[in-house]
Amino acid sequence: MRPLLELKDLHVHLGTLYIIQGVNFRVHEGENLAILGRNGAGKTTLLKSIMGILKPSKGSIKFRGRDITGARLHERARMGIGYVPDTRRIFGSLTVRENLLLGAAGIDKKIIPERLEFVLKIFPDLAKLMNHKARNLSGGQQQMLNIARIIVNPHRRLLLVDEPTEGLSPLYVKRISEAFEVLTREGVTIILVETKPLLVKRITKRYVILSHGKIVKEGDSGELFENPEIMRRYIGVEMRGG
Amino acid sequence: MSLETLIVAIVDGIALGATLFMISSGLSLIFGLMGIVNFAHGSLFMLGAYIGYEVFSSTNSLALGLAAATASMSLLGGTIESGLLKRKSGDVLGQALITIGVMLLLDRTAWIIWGETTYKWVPDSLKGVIELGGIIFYEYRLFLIAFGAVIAAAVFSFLKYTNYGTIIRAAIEDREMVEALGIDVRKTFTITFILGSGLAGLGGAVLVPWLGVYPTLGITYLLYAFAIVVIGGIGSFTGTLAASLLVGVTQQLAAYYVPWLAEATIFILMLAVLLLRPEGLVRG
Ligand SMILES: Nc1ncnc2c1ncn2[C@@H]1O[C@H](COP(=O)(O)OP(=O)(O)O)[C@@H](O)[C@H]1O
Ligand SMILES: [Mg+2]
Repeated sequence: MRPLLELKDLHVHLGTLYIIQGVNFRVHEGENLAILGRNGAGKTTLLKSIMGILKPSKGSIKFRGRDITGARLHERARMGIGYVPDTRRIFGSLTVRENLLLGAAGIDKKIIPERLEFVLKIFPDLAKLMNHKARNLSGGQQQMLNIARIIVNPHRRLLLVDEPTEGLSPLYVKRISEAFEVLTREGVTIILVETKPLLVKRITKRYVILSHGKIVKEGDSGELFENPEIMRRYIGVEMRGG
Repeated sequence: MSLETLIVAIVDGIALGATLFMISSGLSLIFGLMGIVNFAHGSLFMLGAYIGYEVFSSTNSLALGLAAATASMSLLGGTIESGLLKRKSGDVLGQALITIGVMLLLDRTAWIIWGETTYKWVPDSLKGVIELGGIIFYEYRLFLIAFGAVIAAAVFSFLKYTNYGTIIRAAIEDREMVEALGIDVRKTFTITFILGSGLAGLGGAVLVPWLGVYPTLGITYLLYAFAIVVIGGIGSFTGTLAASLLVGVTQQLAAYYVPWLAEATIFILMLAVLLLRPEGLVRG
Protein backbone atom coordinates (compact mmCIF):
# COMPACT_ATOMS: atom_id res chain seq x y z
CA MET A 1 0.00 0.00 0.00
CA ARG A 2 1.23 3.50 -0.84
CA PRO A 3 1.94 5.48 2.33
CA LEU A 4 0.04 8.72 2.97
CA LEU A 5 3.23 10.46 4.04
CA GLU A 6 6.81 9.45 3.56
CA LEU A 7 9.87 11.27 4.89
CA LYS A 8 13.22 10.27 3.44
CA ASP A 9 16.44 11.34 5.09
CA LEU A 10 15.06 14.70 6.16
CA HIS A 11 17.50 17.31 7.48
CA VAL A 12 16.47 20.75 8.71
CA HIS A 13 18.61 23.68 9.82
CA LEU A 14 17.37 26.70 11.73
CA GLY A 15 19.96 29.32 10.89
CA THR A 16 23.22 27.74 11.90
CA LEU A 17 21.55 25.19 14.19
CA TYR A 18 21.27 21.65 12.89
CA ILE A 19 17.89 20.56 14.25
CA ILE A 20 16.51 17.60 12.28
CA GLN A 21 19.34 15.21 11.48
CA GLY A 22 18.09 12.62 9.03
CA VAL A 23 14.57 11.50 9.81
CA ASN A 24 12.84 8.66 7.93
CA PHE A 25 9.33 7.43 8.45
CA ARG A 26 6.14 6.42 6.71
CA VAL A 27 2.61 7.01 7.82
CA HIS A 28 -0.16 4.95 6.25
CA GLU A 29 -3.73 6.08 6.00
CA GLY A 30 -5.56 5.59 9.30
CA GLU A 31 -2.33 4.75 11.10
CA ASN A 32 -2.07 7.67 13.50
CA LEU A 33 1.45 8.39 14.64
CA ALA A 34 2.68 9.87 17.90
CA ILE A 35 5.91 11.85 17.92
CA LEU A 36 7.46 11.85 21.38
CA GLY A 37 10.58 13.43 22.72
CA ARG A 38 11.95 15.82 25.26
CA ASN A 39 11.69 19.59 24.97
CA GLY A 40 13.95 20.81 22.21
CA ALA A 41 14.19 17.42 20.52
CA GLY A 42 12.92 18.93 17.26
CA LYS A 43 9.27 17.83 17.23
CA THR A 44 7.84 21.23 16.33
CA THR A 45 10.54 21.76 13.74
CA LEU A 46 9.67 18.44 12.15
CA LEU A 47 5.95 19.27 11.93
CA LYS A 48 6.70 22.70 10.48
CA SER A 49 8.91 21.13 7.84
CA ILE A 50 6.19 18.69 6.81
CA MET A 51 3.72 21.57 6.57
CA GLY A 52 6.11 23.69 4.52
CA ILE A 53 6.67 26.48 7.03
CA LEU A 54 10.34 25.49 7.23
CA LYS A 55 12.42 24.33 4.28
CA PRO A 56 14.51 21.21 4.74
CA SER A 57 18.18 21.46 3.81
CA LYS A 58 18.20 17.89 2.52
CA GLY A 59 15.87 14.95 1.98
CA SER A 60 12.38 14.55 0.60
CA ILE A 61 8.75 14.59 1.68
CA LYS A 62 6.14 12.65 -0.24
CA PHE A 63 2.43 13.08 0.33
CA ARG A 64 0.02 10.65 -1.35
CA GLY A 65 2.80 9.61 -3.67
CA ARG A 66 3.65 13.14 -4.77
CA ASP A 67 6.95 14.79 -3.95
CA ILE A 68 5.98 17.96 -2.08
CA THR A 69 9.44 18.91 -0.83
CA GLY A 70 9.39 22.13 -2.87
CA ALA A 71 5.65 22.88 -2.62
CA ARG A 72 4.57 26.12 -1.00
CA LEU A 73 2.69 26.28 2.28
CA HIS A 74 -0.76 27.03 0.86
CA GLU A 75 -0.30 24.39 -1.82
CA ARG A 76 0.33 21.70 0.78
CA ALA A 77 -2.74 22.85 2.68
CA ARG A 78 -4.76 22.57 -0.54
CA MET A 79 -3.45 19.03 -1.04
CA GLY A 80 -4.93 18.05 2.30
CA ILE A 81 -2.39 18.70 5.04
CA GLY A 82 -3.64 20.58 8.09
CA TYR A 83 -1.46 22.13 10.80
CA VAL A 84 -2.58 22.77 14.37
CA PRO A 85 0.25 24.83 15.90
CA ASP A 86 1.18 24.58 19.56
CA THR A 87 1.00 28.31 20.14
CA ARG A 88 -2.63 28.84 19.26
CA ARG A 89 -2.31 31.05 16.27
CA ILE A 90 -5.97 31.90 15.95
CA PHE A 91 -6.83 35.28 14.40
CA GLY A 92 -7.62 37.26 17.54
CA SER A 93 -9.20 40.29 15.90
CA LEU A 94 -11.55 38.09 13.85
CA THR A 95 -14.70 36.48 15.18
CA VAL A 96 -14.90 32.76 15.78
CA ARG A 97 -17.12 32.47 12.69
CA GLU A 98 -14.60 34.36 10.54
CA ASN A 99 -11.81 32.11 11.79
CA LEU A 100 -13.84 29.06 10.81
CA LEU A 101 -14.78 30.46 7.41
CA LEU A 102 -11.11 31.09 6.61
CA GLY A 103 -10.48 27.46 7.46
CA ALA A 104 -13.19 26.55 4.96
CA ALA A 105 -11.61 28.63 2.18
CA GLY A 106 -11.79 26.95 -1.18
CA ILE A 107 -14.53 24.46 -0.38
CA ASP A 108 -17.90 24.39 -2.10
CA LYS A 109 -20.05 27.18 -0.59
CA LYS A 110 -23.08 24.91 -0.43
CA ILE A 111 -21.50 22.56 2.07
CA ILE A 112 -20.23 25.26 4.44
CA PRO A 113 -23.34 25.14 6.70
CA GLU A 114 -23.04 21.39 7.13
CA ARG A 115 -19.31 21.67 7.85
CA LEU A 116 -19.96 24.33 10.51
CA GLU A 117 -22.55 22.02 11.99
CA PHE A 118 -19.97 19.22 11.97
CA VAL A 119 -17.38 21.16 13.96
CA LEU A 120 -19.96 22.58 16.33
CA LYS A 121 -21.12 19.06 17.08
CA ILE A 122 -17.55 18.15 17.98
CA PHE A 123 -16.98 21.39 19.92
CA PRO A 124 -20.42 22.52 21.12
CA ASP A 125 -18.80 25.15 23.36
CA LEU A 126 -17.98 27.20 20.26
CA ALA A 127 -21.61 27.49 19.13
CA LYS A 128 -22.51 30.34 21.43
CA LEU A 129 -19.21 32.10 20.77
CA MET A 130 -19.52 32.40 16.98
CA ASN A 131 -19.76 36.20 16.97
CA HIS A 132 -17.15 36.79 19.66
CA LYS A 133 -13.68 38.02 18.83
CA ALA A 134 -11.35 35.06 19.11
CA ARG A 135 -8.92 36.91 21.36
CA ASN A 136 -11.60 37.08 24.05
CA LEU A 137 -11.88 33.29 24.27
CA SER A 138 -10.35 31.29 27.12
CA GLY A 139 -7.24 29.21 26.45
CA GLY A 140 -9.24 25.99 26.11
CA GLN A 141 -11.78 27.61 23.81
CA GLN A 142 -8.98 29.01 21.66
CA GLN A 143 -7.47 25.56 21.35
CA MET A 144 -10.80 24.14 20.24
CA LEU A 145 -11.03 26.90 17.64
CA ASN A 146 -7.44 26.19 16.61
CA ILE A 147 -8.47 22.62 15.80
CA ALA A 148 -11.97 23.43 14.51
CA ARG A 149 -10.55 25.93 12.02
CA ILE A 150 -8.56 23.13 10.40
CA ILE A 151 -11.11 20.33 10.42
CA VAL A 152 -14.00 22.46 9.18
CA ASN A 153 -12.43 21.80 5.81
CA PRO A 154 -13.38 18.32 4.57
CA HIS A 155 -10.34 18.07 2.30
CA ARG A 156 -7.84 17.64 5.13
CA ARG A 157 -6.47 14.11 5.00
CA LEU A 158 -3.51 14.50 7.35
CA LEU A 159 -3.43 16.57 10.52
CA LEU A 160 -0.19 17.69 12.13
CA VAL A 161 -1.10 18.45 15.72
CA ASP A 162 1.43 20.01 18.09
CA GLU A 163 0.87 19.49 21.83
CA PRO A 164 -2.84 20.22 21.67
CA THR A 165 -3.63 19.70 25.34
CA GLU A 166 -0.66 21.55 26.81
CA GLY A 167 -1.86 23.57 29.79
CA LEU A 168 -5.53 22.66 29.40
CA SER A 169 -7.93 21.45 32.07
CA PRO A 170 -9.06 17.78 32.03
CA LEU A 171 -12.43 18.72 30.55
CA TYR A 172 -10.82 20.27 27.49
CA VAL A 173 -8.35 17.40 27.21
CA LYS A 174 -11.33 15.04 27.05
CA ARG A 175 -13.11 17.15 24.40
CA ILE A 176 -10.03 17.32 22.24
CA SER A 177 -9.28 13.64 22.61
CA GLU A 178 -12.86 12.81 21.56
CA ALA A 179 -12.52 15.13 18.59
CA PHE A 180 -9.48 13.20 17.35
CA GLU A 181 -11.35 9.92 17.71
CA VAL A 182 -14.23 11.26 15.61
CA LEU A 183 -11.80 12.51 12.98
CA THR A 184 -10.02 9.19 12.85
CA ARG A 185 -13.33 7.42 12.24
CA GLU A 186 -13.98 9.91 9.43
CA GLY A 187 -10.79 8.81 7.74
CA VAL A 188 -8.44 11.62 8.75
CA THR A 189 -4.93 10.55 9.68
CA ILE A 190 -3.23 12.29 12.59
CA ILE A 191 0.37 12.92 13.50
CA LEU A 192 0.30 13.90 17.13
CA VAL A 193 3.05 15.50 19.17
CA GLU A 194 1.97 14.82 22.72
CA THR A 195 3.34 13.83 26.10
CA LYS A 196 0.17 12.62 27.83
CA PRO A 197 0.45 8.82 27.66
CA LEU A 198 -3.30 8.22 27.82
CA LEU A 199 -3.92 10.47 24.86
CA VAL A 200 -1.12 8.81 22.91
CA LYS A 201 -2.66 5.42 23.60
CA ARG A 202 -6.19 6.44 22.70
CA ILE A 203 -5.41 8.33 19.52
CA THR A 204 -2.36 6.73 17.94
CA LYS A 205 -1.32 3.30 16.68
CA ARG A 206 2.39 3.82 16.42
CA TYR A 207 4.98 6.08 17.97
CA VAL A 208 8.43 7.42 17.21
CA ILE A 209 10.74 8.98 19.77
CA LEU A 210 12.82 11.91 18.63
CA SER A 211 16.03 12.84 20.37
CA HIS A 212 18.45 15.49 19.16
CA GLY A 213 16.78 15.48 15.75
CA LYS A 214 16.97 11.71 15.22
CA ILE A 215 14.48 8.90 15.69
CA VAL A 216 15.90 6.79 18.49
CA LYS A 217 13.01 4.39 19.02
CA GLU A 218 9.73 3.41 17.42
CA GLY A 219 6.98 0.90 17.97
CA ASP A 220 3.31 0.32 18.69
CA SER A 221 1.75 2.86 21.02
CA GLY A 222 0.29 0.16 23.30
CA GLU A 223 3.83 -0.90 24.12
CA LEU A 224 4.39 2.40 25.94
CA PHE A 225 1.94 1.23 28.57
CA GLU A 226 3.21 -2.27 28.88
CA ASN A 227 6.73 -1.02 29.17
CA PRO A 228 6.82 2.23 31.17
CA GLU A 229 10.60 2.08 31.19
CA ILE A 230 10.57 3.44 27.61
CA MET A 231 8.86 6.67 28.55
CA ARG A 232 11.06 7.10 31.59
CA ARG A 233 14.25 6.46 29.75
CA TYR A 234 13.68 8.44 26.58
CA ILE A 235 11.35 11.18 27.66
CA GLY A 236 11.66 11.40 31.40
CA VAL A 237 7.93 10.89 31.90
CA GLU A 238 6.68 8.73 34.76
CA MET A 239 3.78 6.54 33.67
CA ARG A 240 0.97 6.42 36.14
CA GLY A 241 -2.19 5.21 34.51
CA GLY A 242 -2.54 8.33 32.40
CA MET B 1 -10.05 82.46 22.58
CA SER B 2 -13.75 82.13 21.95
CA LEU B 3 -15.89 79.03 21.94
CA GLU B 4 -16.64 79.76 18.31
CA THR B 5 -12.99 79.55 17.33
CA LEU B 6 -12.66 76.30 19.21
CA ILE B 7 -15.65 74.73 17.45
CA VAL B 8 -14.51 75.90 14.03
CA ALA B 9 -11.01 74.54 14.68
CA ILE B 10 -12.42 71.16 15.68
CA VAL B 11 -14.69 70.97 12.64
CA ASP B 12 -11.79 71.90 10.37
CA GLY B 13 -9.71 69.27 12.14
CA ILE B 14 -12.28 66.58 11.48
CA ALA B 15 -12.41 67.63 7.82
CA LEU B 16 -8.63 67.36 7.60
CA GLY B 17 -8.77 64.06 9.46
CA ALA B 18 -11.19 62.69 6.86
CA THR B 19 -8.60 63.38 4.15
CA LEU B 20 -5.76 62.06 6.26
CA PHE B 21 -7.68 58.83 6.68
CA MET B 22 -7.78 58.37 2.90
CA ILE B 23 -4.00 58.53 2.59
CA SER B 24 -3.18 56.68 5.82
CA SER B 25 -5.50 53.70 5.52
CA GLY B 26 -3.82 52.46 2.34
CA LEU B 27 -0.35 52.97 3.78
CA SER B 28 -1.35 51.09 6.90
CA LEU B 29 -2.91 48.15 5.00
CA ILE B 30 0.07 47.84 2.66
CA PHE B 31 2.55 47.87 5.51
CA GLY B 32 0.44 45.61 7.72
CA LEU B 33 -0.12 43.02 5.02
CA MET B 34 3.06 43.06 2.97
CA GLY B 35 5.60 44.67 5.28
CA ILE B 36 6.33 47.26 2.60
CA VAL B 37 7.06 50.81 3.72
CA ASN B 38 5.58 52.51 0.68
CA PHE B 39 7.44 55.77 0.18
CA ALA B 40 5.58 56.35 -3.11
CA HIS B 41 2.27 56.62 -1.30
CA GLY B 42 2.49 60.40 -0.79
CA SER B 43 3.37 60.86 -4.46
CA LEU B 44 0.18 59.03 -5.44
CA PHE B 45 -1.72 61.37 -3.14
CA MET B 46 -0.09 64.37 -4.84
CA LEU B 47 -0.53 63.02 -8.35
CA GLY B 48 -4.18 62.29 -7.57
CA ALA B 49 -4.51 65.93 -6.52
CA TYR B 50 -2.96 67.21 -9.78
CA ILE B 51 -5.08 64.93 -11.92
CA GLY B 52 -8.14 65.86 -9.89
CA TYR B 53 -7.33 69.53 -10.43
CA GLU B 54 -6.92 69.10 -14.20
CA VAL B 55 -10.24 67.29 -14.53
CA PHE B 56 -12.06 69.63 -12.11
CA SER B 57 -10.98 72.71 -13.97
CA SER B 58 -11.61 71.37 -17.46
CA THR B 59 -15.00 69.69 -16.77
CA ASN B 60 -16.12 71.85 -13.85
CA SER B 61 -17.24 68.66 -12.13
CA LEU B 62 -16.11 67.61 -8.68
CA ALA B 63 -17.37 64.06 -9.17
CA LEU B 64 -15.51 63.53 -12.44
CA GLY B 65 -12.26 64.84 -10.99
CA LEU B 66 -12.50 62.60 -7.94
CA ALA B 67 -13.33 59.59 -10.09
CA ALA B 68 -10.43 60.29 -12.46
CA ALA B 69 -7.96 60.70 -9.58
CA THR B 70 -9.12 57.49 -7.91
CA ALA B 71 -9.14 55.41 -11.09
CA SER B 72 -5.77 56.61 -12.38
CA MET B 73 -3.99 56.15 -9.04
CA SER B 74 -5.55 52.69 -8.57
CA LEU B 75 -4.19 51.74 -11.94
CA LEU B 76 -0.77 53.21 -11.21
CA GLY B 77 -0.63 51.54 -7.77
CA GLY B 78 -1.64 48.18 -9.19
CA THR B 79 1.05 48.53 -11.86
CA ILE B 80 3.73 49.43 -9.32
CA GLU B 81 2.86 46.33 -7.30
CA SER B 82 2.49 43.80 -10.08
CA GLY B 83 5.19 45.28 -12.33
CA LEU B 84 7.91 46.21 -9.84
CA LEU B 85 7.35 45.01 -6.29
CA LYS B 86 6.27 41.43 -7.08
CA ARG B 87 9.69 40.71 -8.50
CA LYS B 88 11.23 41.54 -5.13
CA SER B 89 8.74 39.52 -3.14
CA GLY B 90 10.16 38.77 0.30
CA ASP B 91 12.92 41.38 -0.01
CA VAL B 92 11.53 44.11 2.21
CA LEU B 93 14.52 46.42 1.85
CA GLY B 94 14.58 46.04 -1.93
CA GLN B 95 10.89 46.85 -2.07
CA ALA B 96 11.30 49.96 0.08
CA LEU B 97 14.11 51.13 -2.22
CA ILE B 98 11.88 50.62 -5.26
CA THR B 99 9.15 52.74 -3.70
CA ILE B 100 11.72 55.48 -2.98
CA GLY B 101 12.72 55.35 -6.64
CA VAL B 102 9.10 55.61 -7.74
CA MET B 103 8.57 58.50 -5.34
CA LEU B 104 11.50 60.46 -6.76
CA LEU B 105 10.41 59.76 -10.31
CA LEU B 106 6.79 60.79 -9.73
CA ASP B 107 7.66 63.90 -7.73
CA ARG B 108 10.16 65.06 -10.31
CA THR B 109 7.77 64.42 -13.18
CA ALA B 110 5.01 66.36 -11.42
CA TRP B 111 7.41 69.24 -10.82
CA ILE B 112 8.36 69.32 -14.50
CA ILE B 113 4.71 69.36 -15.58
CA TRP B 114 3.13 71.63 -12.97
CA GLY B 115 6.05 73.60 -11.53
CA GLU B 116 5.96 75.53 -8.27
CA THR B 117 2.47 77.00 -8.57
CA THR B 118 -0.25 76.10 -6.10
CA TYR B 119 -3.39 75.15 -7.97
CA LYS B 120 -6.82 75.39 -6.44
CA TRP B 121 -10.32 74.90 -7.72
CA VAL B 122 -13.57 75.11 -5.78
CA PRO B 123 -16.89 73.68 -7.03
CA ASP B 124 -19.58 76.35 -7.43
CA SER B 125 -22.08 74.30 -5.48
CA LEU B 126 -19.88 74.20 -2.36
CA LYS B 127 -18.30 77.66 -2.51
CA GLY B 128 -20.39 79.22 0.21
CA VAL B 129 -20.66 79.21 3.96
CA ILE B 130 -23.38 77.95 6.27
CA GLU B 131 -24.42 79.51 9.54
CA LEU B 132 -25.28 77.03 12.27
CA GLY B 133 -26.13 78.28 15.74
CA GLY B 134 -24.49 81.60 15.03
CA ILE B 135 -21.23 80.03 13.86
CA ILE B 136 -20.08 80.23 10.27
CA PHE B 137 -18.77 77.09 8.56
CA TYR B 138 -17.34 76.57 5.09
CA GLU B 139 -19.63 74.34 3.07
CA TYR B 140 -16.75 72.47 1.48
CA ARG B 141 -15.22 71.45 4.79
CA LEU B 142 -18.58 70.11 5.98
CA PHE B 143 -18.83 68.22 2.70
CA LEU B 144 -15.37 66.75 3.37
CA ILE B 145 -16.56 65.38 6.70
CA ALA B 146 -19.64 63.74 5.16
CA PHE B 147 -17.64 62.41 2.21
CA GLY B 148 -14.93 61.06 4.50
CA ALA B 149 -17.56 59.26 6.58
CA VAL B 150 -18.92 57.57 3.45
CA ILE B 151 -15.43 56.49 2.35
CA ALA B 152 -14.53 55.21 5.81
CA ALA B 153 -17.76 53.20 5.88
CA ALA B 154 -16.94 51.76 2.46
CA VAL B 155 -13.43 50.73 3.49
CA PHE B 156 -14.77 49.27 6.70
CA SER B 157 -17.39 47.24 4.81
CA PHE B 158 -14.80 45.95 2.37
CA LEU B 159 -12.57 44.76 5.18
CA LYS B 160 -15.39 43.40 7.29
CA TYR B 161 -17.78 41.81 4.83
CA THR B 162 -15.83 40.60 1.81
CA ASN B 163 -13.68 37.50 1.49
CA TYR B 164 -10.69 39.56 0.45
CA GLY B 165 -11.21 41.84 3.42
CA THR B 166 -11.33 38.94 5.87
CA ILE B 167 -8.19 37.41 4.37
CA ILE B 168 -6.39 40.77 4.54
CA ARG B 169 -7.33 41.28 8.20
CA ALA B 170 -6.25 37.76 9.10
CA ALA B 171 -3.00 38.00 7.14
CA ILE B 172 -2.09 41.28 8.85
CA GLU B 173 -2.22 39.29 12.10
CA ASP B 174 -0.53 36.10 10.95
CA ARG B 175 0.18 35.63 7.27
CA GLU B 176 1.80 32.23 7.65
CA MET B 177 -1.25 30.80 9.39
CA VAL B 178 -3.56 32.11 6.64
CA GLU B 179 -1.40 30.28 4.11
CA ALA B 180 -1.42 27.16 6.27
CA LEU B 181 -5.20 27.17 5.79
CA GLY B 182 -4.71 26.91 2.03
CA ILE B 183 -5.03 30.55 1.01
CA ASP B 184 -2.51 32.18 -1.34
CA VAL B 185 -2.05 35.49 0.45
CA ARG B 186 0.03 36.93 -2.40
CA LYS B 187 -3.14 37.13 -4.46
CA THR B 188 -4.43 39.87 -2.15
CA PHE B 189 -1.34 42.04 -2.58
CA THR B 190 -2.28 43.60 -5.90
CA ILE B 191 -5.84 44.31 -4.81
CA THR B 192 -4.56 45.92 -1.61
CA PHE B 193 -2.26 48.17 -3.62
CA ILE B 194 -5.06 49.07 -6.02
CA LEU B 195 -7.36 49.92 -3.14
CA GLY B 196 -4.76 51.82 -1.10
CA SER B 197 -3.47 53.80 -4.07
CA GLY B 198 -6.99 54.68 -5.23
CA LEU B 199 -7.78 55.98 -1.75
CA ALA B 200 -4.59 58.04 -1.73
CA GLY B 201 -5.43 59.57 -5.14
CA LEU B 202 -8.95 60.31 -3.96
CA GLY B 203 -7.68 61.92 -0.75
CA GLY B 204 -5.31 64.17 -2.67
CA ALA B 205 -7.97 65.25 -5.14
CA VAL B 206 -10.64 65.92 -2.55
CA LEU B 207 -8.25 68.23 -0.69
CA VAL B 208 -7.66 70.50 -3.73
CA PRO B 209 -10.72 72.74 -3.19
CA TRP B 210 -9.60 73.42 0.36
CA LEU B 211 -5.81 73.56 0.46
CA GLY B 212 -4.85 73.27 -3.23
CA VAL B 213 -2.07 71.19 -4.74
CA TYR B 214 1.64 72.08 -4.76
CA PRO B 215 4.92 70.19 -5.29
CA THR B 216 5.65 69.34 -1.64
CA LEU B 217 2.13 68.06 -0.97
CA GLY B 218 3.22 64.45 -1.39
CA ILE B 219 6.11 64.40 1.03
CA THR B 220 4.24 66.49 3.61
CA TYR B 221 1.26 64.16 3.71
CA LEU B 222 3.43 61.06 3.50
CA LEU B 223 5.04 62.11 6.77
CA TYR B 224 1.63 62.80 8.31
CA ALA B 225 0.47 59.38 7.18
CA PHE B 226 3.54 57.66 8.65
CA ALA B 227 2.83 59.36 11.96
CA ILE B 228 -0.83 58.32 11.82
CA VAL B 229 0.03 54.69 11.12
CA VAL B 230 2.39 54.66 14.10
CA ILE B 231 -0.14 56.40 16.34
CA GLY B 232 -3.07 54.23 15.31
CA GLY B 233 -1.34 50.87 15.35
CA ILE B 234 -0.21 49.19 12.14
CA GLY B 235 -2.89 47.53 10.05
CA SER B 236 -5.73 48.54 12.35
CA PHE B 237 -8.73 50.14 10.64
CA THR B 238 -10.21 51.72 13.76
CA GLY B 239 -6.75 52.79 14.89
CA THR B 240 -6.04 54.52 11.59
CA LEU B 241 -9.42 56.24 11.64
CA ALA B 242 -9.05 57.40 15.24
CA ALA B 243 -5.46 58.56 14.69
CA SER B 244 -6.42 60.45 11.50
CA LEU B 245 -9.11 62.37 13.35
CA LEU B 246 -6.83 62.94 16.34
CA VAL B 247 -4.02 64.24 14.15
CA GLY B 248 -6.40 66.37 12.07
CA VAL B 249 -7.97 68.00 15.09
CA THR B 250 -4.66 68.47 16.94
CA GLN B 251 -3.10 70.03 13.87
CA GLN B 252 -5.97 72.47 13.36
CA LEU B 253 -6.17 73.42 17.03
CA ALA B 254 -2.45 74.09 17.02
CA ALA B 255 -2.80 76.11 13.81
CA TYR B 256 -5.37 78.36 15.51
CA TYR B 257 -3.78 78.68 18.91
CA VAL B 258 -0.03 78.01 18.58
CA PRO B 259 0.64 78.48 14.85
CA TRP B 260 4.44 78.34 15.26
CA LEU B 261 4.11 74.81 16.59
CA ALA B 262 1.45 73.53 14.19
CA GLU B 263 3.72 71.52 11.91
CA ALA B 264 5.45 69.82 14.81
CA THR B 265 2.39 68.80 16.82
CA ILE B 266 1.79 65.63 14.82
CA PHE B 267 5.27 64.39 15.51
CA ILE B 268 5.09 65.36 19.17
CA LEU B 269 1.88 63.32 19.32
CA MET B 270 3.64 60.43 17.60
CA LEU B 271 6.55 60.49 20.04
CA ALA B 272 4.13 60.58 22.97
CA VAL B 273 2.31 57.52 21.64
CA LEU B 274 5.60 55.73 20.98
CA LEU B 275 6.65 56.35 24.57
CA LEU B 276 3.36 55.55 26.25
CA ARG B 277 1.77 52.97 23.96
CA PRO B 278 4.35 51.65 21.49
CA GLU B 279 1.83 49.27 19.91
CA GLY B 280 -0.40 52.20 18.90
CA LEU B 281 -3.81 53.31 20.10
CA VAL B 282 -5.74 50.32 18.86
CA ARG B 283 -4.82 46.66 18.78
CA GLY B 284 -6.00 44.84 15.62
N1 LIG C 1 13.29 29.98 15.73
C1 LIG C 1 14.31 29.29 16.24
N2 LIG C 1 15.57 29.72 16.08
C2 LIG C 1 16.60 29.03 16.57
N3 LIG C 1 16.49 27.92 17.26
C3 LIG C 1 15.27 27.42 17.46
C4 LIG C 1 14.11 28.08 16.97
N4 LIG C 1 13.03 27.34 17.31
C5 LIG C 1 13.51 26.30 18.00
N5 LIG C 1 14.85 26.33 18.09
C6 LIG C 1 15.68 25.32 18.70
O1 LIG C 1 15.53 24.17 17.92
C7 LIG C 1 15.51 23.02 18.71
C8 LIG C 1 14.27 22.20 18.42
O2 LIG C 1 13.16 22.95 18.76
P1 LIG C 1 11.68 22.40 18.62
O3 LIG C 1 11.51 21.83 17.27
O4 LIG C 1 10.76 23.50 19.01
O5 LIG C 1 11.66 21.24 19.70
P2 LIG C 1 10.42 20.56 20.40
O6 LIG C 1 9.17 20.94 19.70
O7 LIG C 1 10.72 19.10 20.33
O8 LIG C 1 10.43 21.03 21.83
C9 LIG C 1 15.59 23.50 20.14
O9 LIG C 1 16.92 23.33 20.58
C10 LIG C 1 15.24 24.95 20.09
O10 LIG C 1 15.91 25.66 21.09
MG1 LIG D 1 7.48 21.89 20.39
